[in-house]
Amino acid sequence: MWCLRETIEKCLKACFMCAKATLIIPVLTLLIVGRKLDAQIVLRPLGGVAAISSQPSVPSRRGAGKGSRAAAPAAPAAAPTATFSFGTVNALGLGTPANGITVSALSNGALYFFAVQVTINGLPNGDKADITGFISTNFTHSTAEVMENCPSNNNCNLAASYSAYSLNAASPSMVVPPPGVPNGTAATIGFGVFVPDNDGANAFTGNDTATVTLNATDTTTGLSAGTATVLFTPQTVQDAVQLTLSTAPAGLTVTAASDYSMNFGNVNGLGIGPAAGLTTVAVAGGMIYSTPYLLNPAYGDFTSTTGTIKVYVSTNFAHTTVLTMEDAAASGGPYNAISTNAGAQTAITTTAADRAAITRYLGMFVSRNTVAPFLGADNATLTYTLTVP
Amino acid sequence: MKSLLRVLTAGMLMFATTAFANTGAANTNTVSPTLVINATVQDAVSLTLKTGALAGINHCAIAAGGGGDYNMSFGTVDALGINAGNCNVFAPTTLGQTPAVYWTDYQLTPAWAGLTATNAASITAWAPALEAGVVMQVPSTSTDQSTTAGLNVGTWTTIGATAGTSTPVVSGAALSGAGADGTALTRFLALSVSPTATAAAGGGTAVSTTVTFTMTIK
Repeated sequence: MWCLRETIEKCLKACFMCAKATLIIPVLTLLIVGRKLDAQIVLRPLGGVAAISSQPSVPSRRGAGKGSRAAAPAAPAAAPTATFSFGTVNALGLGTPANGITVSALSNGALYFFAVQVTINGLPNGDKADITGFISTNFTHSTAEVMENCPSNNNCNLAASYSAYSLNAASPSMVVPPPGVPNGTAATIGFGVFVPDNDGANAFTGNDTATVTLNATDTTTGLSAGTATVLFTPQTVQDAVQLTLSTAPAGLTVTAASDYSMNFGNVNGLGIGPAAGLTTVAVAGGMIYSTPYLLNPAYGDFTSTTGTIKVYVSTNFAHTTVLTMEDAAASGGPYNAISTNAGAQTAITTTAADRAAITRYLGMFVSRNTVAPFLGADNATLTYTLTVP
Repeated sequence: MKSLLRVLTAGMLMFATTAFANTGAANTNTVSPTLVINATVQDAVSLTLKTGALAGINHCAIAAGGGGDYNMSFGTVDALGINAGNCNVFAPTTLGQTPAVYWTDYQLTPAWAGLTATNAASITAWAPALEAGVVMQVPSTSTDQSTTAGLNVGTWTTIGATAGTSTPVVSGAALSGAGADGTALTRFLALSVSPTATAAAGGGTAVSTTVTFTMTIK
């Protein structure tokens, strides 16, 4: 190869001094561009991700000039080099992802990703090749799904290593950075799809597909070293809804346990000695022990941007004349008894926004309990319902 | 059995909602997490003091703290009843021989929860003497004396000086009566200053004692 290049350079020098250069240059140019490296990009998924199909990539074709990152033309063949599927996805990262796929719930959506070993075969000895990639066919619903790339110099087992793939063939994403990898040496890259919350007019649920084109370039010669197309299909986006409870600053601890629990500790009708996180509000006939807590609604791929949250006492205290659960929007009240009727629940809000925590106050009324006193442990269960229309 | 299985399978396919926990679900628009509330109810009692409010007499002010839960000062007193003190004074029956009685009304507010008061309930008080000849007293007319009617220099009795000799200041009948829980009760407390008292004899020394009230609801 070096000999060929040296010969060409000598000829070119000669041509500039030759009166018949105009005839010779086109001939030599044809010799250069017609040469093939016969290199191929080979993808091998890791971690049990099943490739729906896989076949040899398109061999390198015309060499791009060294230093030019312009992508080679997409593969002319109809069949992609490899086909993968992220399976069923949602913006909250709920559920078990498809085999080999890792899901990471983020603050504004969810990232599904997996690692792949990429190898370039057919490079000349001593040469290395880098790989760039771009989205050659984007998702039809590009606000619902975003293809993400993890370059080989990152840890592709970490969500933070992924960033959006370029949509621009002329300015592709770096997949295997220069100087690249030698012939037959595997590099680990990652493919990801980010599913944002995407509520409102652009909400989408259903199937969609995208194609990423990878281009390898021999970093020694600047020649193309292969092109691969990776099809991601079928990709099924589902809507998802979530309501979690958590501890508010200075509030009683909310413990995650079937689904959540709060322990008001020892209480009495005089409000003496409230546990940490509780404050007392004197009311007729007893005392309200009160704590702030957080309601955290989250939802994705709904046309509505607001939801409703309701609550009711699904299992009441055994001693309802002594203990009553109450709700308030402010620490000082007013506190109102929470409904015990599933069909007429207590409304908390009709404007619950996605990922916007709501501070609410839960009160436990403890009566003076002097007529038929009850002393001892008791419990009740509240059921919250978030509905996104 | 096979038919039943087919029906169940069809049902599962029709309702493809994927619920991962009560806190979240996909392919649906509603979710219903639960919150379990635990508490242990205990009984409780409370007894607070505040300045008296009877019309027509002076009141020694009761304030929080001052070395105890509350404090009250009768001011400058003497065995002849010459000093007015901070509240009211009954002059001695016989000057130089019987004590002067400085007195005030005050309020006790009993409260309880998780308990039922009966006639066996009580509020008692005891206090060591401030010094020889200077003692704390309560009306001898009635445990539940709550007005000034009938009170004079001779209607007082010294309260017990130890916990074991406490003197009732509110009866079980009063505590078990309707509305007693949480209702302020007016009572009287007096400081008897005998001519034999050292300070009264011209010492001018400030003296004090602690009156301990004990409420029992049963």
